[in-house]
Amino acid sequence: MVYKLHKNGSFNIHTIKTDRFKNIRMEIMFRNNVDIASVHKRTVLFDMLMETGEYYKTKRAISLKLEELYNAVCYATSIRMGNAVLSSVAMDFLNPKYTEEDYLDEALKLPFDLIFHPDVTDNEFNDEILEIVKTRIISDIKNINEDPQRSAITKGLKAFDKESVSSINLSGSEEKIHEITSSNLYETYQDILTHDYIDIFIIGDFDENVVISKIVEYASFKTIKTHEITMDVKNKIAKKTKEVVESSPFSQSQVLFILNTLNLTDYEKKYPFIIYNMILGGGALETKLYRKLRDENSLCYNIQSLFQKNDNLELIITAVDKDNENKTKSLINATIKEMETKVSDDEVKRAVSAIISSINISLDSPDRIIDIHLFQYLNSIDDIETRINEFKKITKKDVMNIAKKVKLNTIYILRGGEENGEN
Amino acid sequence: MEKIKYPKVDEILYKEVLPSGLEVYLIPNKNVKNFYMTFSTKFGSLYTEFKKASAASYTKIPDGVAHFLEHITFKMPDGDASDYFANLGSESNAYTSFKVTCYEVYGYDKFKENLNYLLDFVQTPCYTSKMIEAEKGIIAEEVKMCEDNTLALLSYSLYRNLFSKHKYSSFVCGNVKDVKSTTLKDIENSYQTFYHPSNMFIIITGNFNHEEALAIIEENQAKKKFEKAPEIKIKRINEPNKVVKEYEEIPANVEVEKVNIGLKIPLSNFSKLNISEIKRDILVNIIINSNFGRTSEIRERLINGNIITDGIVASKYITDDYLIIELSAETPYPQRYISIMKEKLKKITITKEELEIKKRVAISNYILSFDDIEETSYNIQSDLINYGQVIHNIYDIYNELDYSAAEEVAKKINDKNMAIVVLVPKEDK
Repeated sequence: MVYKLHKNGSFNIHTIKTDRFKNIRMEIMFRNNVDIASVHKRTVLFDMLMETGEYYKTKRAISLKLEELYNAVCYATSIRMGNAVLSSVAMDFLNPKYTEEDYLDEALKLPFDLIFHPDVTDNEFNDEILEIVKTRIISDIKNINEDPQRSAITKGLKAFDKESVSSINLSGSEEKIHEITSSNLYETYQDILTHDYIDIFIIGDFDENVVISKIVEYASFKTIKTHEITMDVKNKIAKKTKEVVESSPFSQSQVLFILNTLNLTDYEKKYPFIIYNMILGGGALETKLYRKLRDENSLCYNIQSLFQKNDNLELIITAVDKDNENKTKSLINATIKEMETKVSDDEVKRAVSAIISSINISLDSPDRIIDIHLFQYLNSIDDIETRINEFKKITKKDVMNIAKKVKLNTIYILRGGEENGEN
Repeated sequence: MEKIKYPKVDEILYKEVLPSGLEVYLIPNKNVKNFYMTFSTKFGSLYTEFKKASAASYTKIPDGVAHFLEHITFKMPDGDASDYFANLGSESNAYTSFKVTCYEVYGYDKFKENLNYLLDFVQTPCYTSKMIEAEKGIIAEEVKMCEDNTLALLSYSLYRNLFSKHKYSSFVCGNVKDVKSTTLKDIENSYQTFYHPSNMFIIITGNFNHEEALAIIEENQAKKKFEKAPEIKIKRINEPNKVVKEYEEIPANVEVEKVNIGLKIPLSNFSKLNISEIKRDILVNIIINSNFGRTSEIRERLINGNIITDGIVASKYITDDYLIIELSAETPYPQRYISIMKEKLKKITITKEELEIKKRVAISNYILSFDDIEETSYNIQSDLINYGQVIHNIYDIYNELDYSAAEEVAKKINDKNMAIVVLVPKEDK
């Protein structure tokens, strides 16, 4: 596998040449700081670009074209990475060498056609298509309430700090989506094309010169960007733990703990805290929380902890019977405390093995290999060899020390088991 | 070891059947870093009345026992089996479906230790009443998670209205009452009947040496004594053609209405067509995809008319006697959606051009599936459960599909036995 970075002025091309996979995957990534007031427009915009275009007047026309390209897949996603937002247009297709046809050029051109030739007349997006996209996104926003865990995390983060970038939904709210017009969306489009950093990743077995010349031909990004993008979020630290309880129509109660991490260094975020999280609840079936709540007390089916590195937050979430909420809270608190004094060499060794295993798993997937190279490029992670070596150096003392650098901020309970929904 | 080559791709399947009847399937892939091994028994949630052929009467167990057994199989005399795999740097898990229970290990190192332990923990039953009682609380919480899952509710509500006797209508994990009533005897009876090697199979995909894998399995199994392979009889269920309830509205925790339409088509409808089961199933997939998938005209019409918010999810599965087609969608106008879909279901068709393009789609999916070691494994499992053998020549089958057969299959898909379920927002919301 050979990775190369080709700087092209207004955008970068990252090639990852390998014959390990039967597909070719290209991702066109747009990156910028999050603007809380307008980030929802970005979600709508990328959905619009995938819906129709100047050359494809219907979604069905795009789908037919993709099937013709041996069932290629083209889609857009947006994710938040702390204070930054990353939108990606991905094109995934069967390497033409497995067929009797040469459609490489068409497959590479299609996503750029959708990006640079949108369904726009007189600086306005197609109104009818915009309504379809808005309806779908509003439905997605509403559907969060149908999923107990997503609903608890969304509401819990709002209870934690509704002003924080960590608690925003990239799709915004129903009201904000309604406010979008076909003309102000076109302004967003122009703004993103001009001001976002652009990185194009491509992985697969291809002739590098051919692929680069095609991308350079189709990627008409013009402007050179120099502004700074910072991912790190400085969330407020609570003096006293907040506890919020809301009712829900679900049969189980969702219990969410939100903890601040305190002044972690870059190294601590990359290594000891990752191991801390794995031992606490980030691993699979053998974490401290899993043992304490599931194995020893039969309280839940699953319990997980999640390290939100860029947000400087650690989340813990589980679903339990309403009558067991207090016991659950007390066991989670005790486990967090236990991390400061009772961590074994075996637990550290197991966590390190699990991390190395997950690194290896990611190396079998083209999209995750792209992610690894993206995060290395952004200096968010080190190269694989360094990572494995650094993880192996972590001791139980490192983990117990880092355990002192968390502080409980909010306990949020989305209470279930109450048929009438009253609290 | 039998060596079977997959056409068009450079992939080879090695197959062996051990003296105990255990089937072994191995597909090495040196392009990946990991291996994925599964050890499965043909025991799923559907099998609740069964016996060994020599027994006088059928044993009846509560719903969800296959899943319950899956949970406690991980209990070993010296702790939980998942700890052993974690110490090796591997990930272990398991799942139960309607027809199979599958134990899985994903790893990159210590192949021999992983494989030996996978075989050992599944073949070491050490169940106690205390263990079973402790597990009940955990599984009850899992059941409640299923009850809170809108998509599960949408599917199972439809199955309840499609099937009057079949166990498709019950959650794979049963309900809380089933879980509470499960006994040590239920677990032991099930294990003794279904966990004999002759009812099980091993599939390994990914980075490993197939000769070494077989040697490890053979040596491991040679050390164990197994009773004579039992002949398992599952009580035959005579499910009537008629659906239980044609239409039902269910108040649920949904923001926008969700509709699920189910067609219950007797497989006997297809028996005179003179095509194999696998061709029938491929053609059904192609036809429902062409009529309701992302390139279908009806999807475009429904989206453009704001009748549905996203696509139609179309899927099919085969029971002993029926082809079931499920068509679900989210819609603020459920009655209009149902009316348009009913109209469409009266004229299921496919053109020659559509068939050709869908064949191209299927061939692409087939080639790409070998890059994913879990998908490769799952495809073998699915073939074994549905057809009793691995369909290694599927590429040739795709190429052989002809338009006249597709037309005939399309004609057999009808709405004669149909159930519709609508999840509606609860009034107090």
